[in-house]
Amino acid sequence: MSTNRHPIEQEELMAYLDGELPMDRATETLSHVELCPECQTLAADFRGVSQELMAWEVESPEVGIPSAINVALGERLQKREAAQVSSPRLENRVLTSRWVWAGALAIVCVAVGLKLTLTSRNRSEDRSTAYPSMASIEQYLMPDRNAEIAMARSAAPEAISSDAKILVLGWRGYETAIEGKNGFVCVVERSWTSPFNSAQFWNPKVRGPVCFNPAAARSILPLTIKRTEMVLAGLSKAQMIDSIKAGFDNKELSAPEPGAMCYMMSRAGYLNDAVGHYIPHLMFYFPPTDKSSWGADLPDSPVTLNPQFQGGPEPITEFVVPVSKWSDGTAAPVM
Amino acid sequence: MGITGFKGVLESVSKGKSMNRKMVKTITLRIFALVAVLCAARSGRAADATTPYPSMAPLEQYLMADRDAEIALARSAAPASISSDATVMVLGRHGYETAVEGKNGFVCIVERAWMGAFDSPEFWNAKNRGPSCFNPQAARSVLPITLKRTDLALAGLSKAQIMDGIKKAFQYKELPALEPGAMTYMMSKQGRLNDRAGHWLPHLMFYVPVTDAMTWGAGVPGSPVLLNPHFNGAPEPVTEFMIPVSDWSDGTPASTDHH
Repeated sequence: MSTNRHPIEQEELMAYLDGELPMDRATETLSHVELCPECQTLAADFRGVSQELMAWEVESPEVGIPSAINVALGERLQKREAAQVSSPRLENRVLTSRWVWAGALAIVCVAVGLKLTLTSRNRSEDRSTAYPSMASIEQYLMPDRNAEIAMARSAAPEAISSDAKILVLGWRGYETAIEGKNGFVCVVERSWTSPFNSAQFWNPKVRGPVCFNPAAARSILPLTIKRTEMVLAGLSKAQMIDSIKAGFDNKELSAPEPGAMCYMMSRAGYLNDAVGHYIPHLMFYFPPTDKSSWGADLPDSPVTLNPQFQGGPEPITEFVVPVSKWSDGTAAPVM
Repeated sequence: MGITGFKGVLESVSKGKSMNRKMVKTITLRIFALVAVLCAARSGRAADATTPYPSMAPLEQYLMADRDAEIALARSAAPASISSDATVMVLGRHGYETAVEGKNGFVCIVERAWMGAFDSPEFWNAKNRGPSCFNPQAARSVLPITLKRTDLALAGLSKAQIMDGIKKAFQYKELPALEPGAMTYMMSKQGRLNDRAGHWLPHLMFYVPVTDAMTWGAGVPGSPVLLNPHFNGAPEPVTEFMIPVSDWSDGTPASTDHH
């Protein structure tokens, strides 16, 4: 990659993928990558290597290794002294010594482990999940635009979604695929609208069809759009959290409007590995509210608290109420 | 006076040989005037003439003689995990009174027919019993509407007077503004919401400032959301949406097919 043809260096691309670029430079990088097949391939390669490294479990060095290295080095010194007298092929003998190889391997392992520890200091919470970091963007995109439109619409009954505005995910964020006329907006959310500490935060298989009512389209959908733009710009979780906090502080993001709610009645969705499409439900948004005020999560209560925003950074409480049918009118299983 | 009687009068008048034409004319005009008055009086009660509940029944019919039964019925609106710690109010001769002090902010009561829409034919149905558990936000901002309507009804006011009283109560801030997150549990299988629906379905109710039903997708084909017409700006500045749920408050399943 040359800066003559590419406005970004390989190192910057790697930094972008690691979420270490400032927001403005990350946006420039994303803009270029979006138009550069060569860079997309390179980014995919980098991500692949990164994921392999992240998945590589480096075992703790055994206590005996340092002494073994000492023994090996001592033997090597003795042999070298002897070889200086008896053998002209010292280099070959050193290279074939298994103790030397063992020692070298141990040093490399410690070094790699140290490097991984340092570079993944912000990802330590991800080590226990199958999705420790962002996959390649391609895995989050749906190549069939019409399929994404149909899935978005499946979030609500046709009487609502057929007149709704539809957004689909592109390389730079959500973009309008169809203009609506009833104030509802339907999108397919991705995994990063999960809580930041969710093990599924980077699960590329997640597809969450949602139809926001007009009040939620104005006050909740902007959160989905903002998280998405930051993710695609390569920001780390910590950077995203800071940015969302700042967004609420400077009024770029607003509190939920009264009556903000959404439909999630799609049987085509995939909310996470544990629940699949879950059950059809509606969601209701409020400023921070104690869940007991809705009787949420109490025995026999139909109301549950959705942890999506709970605990921040978004100052929003979200309640879930299951309904009996999917958006296509077929009966849903009872939870 | 029936149609047959009316014709008879006209025939006797027109055939009477002892009456002169002036007298016939006078009588005829008076009869038409009487008919017009009767028709006018009849049209003024048109809303109530189509219902077996045209006016308020004796107060005793709205009261529940067994106080404990009313407490139990009120609590049946929500799962025990909610209602067992709720404040419970029961209806007395002068309005609702606290029967049990709660500790979780919920308030459970059994609403009566006058909480229906003002144009409902069952507005005075003495058999209606609507167990409701208001969450804390609704207890502070929606329950006062129930208490106010009840006070006005028990004071013997007409529908028009009750409606006027509610309007003035909002106008003079006697009734509070709606709080965000106000909602109510109505999951009792022992209730009787009206003659047609009986206990209807277990459901939750959500209150928002007056809004169009379509902002929640309410009432359109396939939608689980329904608009309750009983406030909706007439006169209370509140829109109330209902969402049926799968189980009654006691955990038994309900059929949600017929909503």
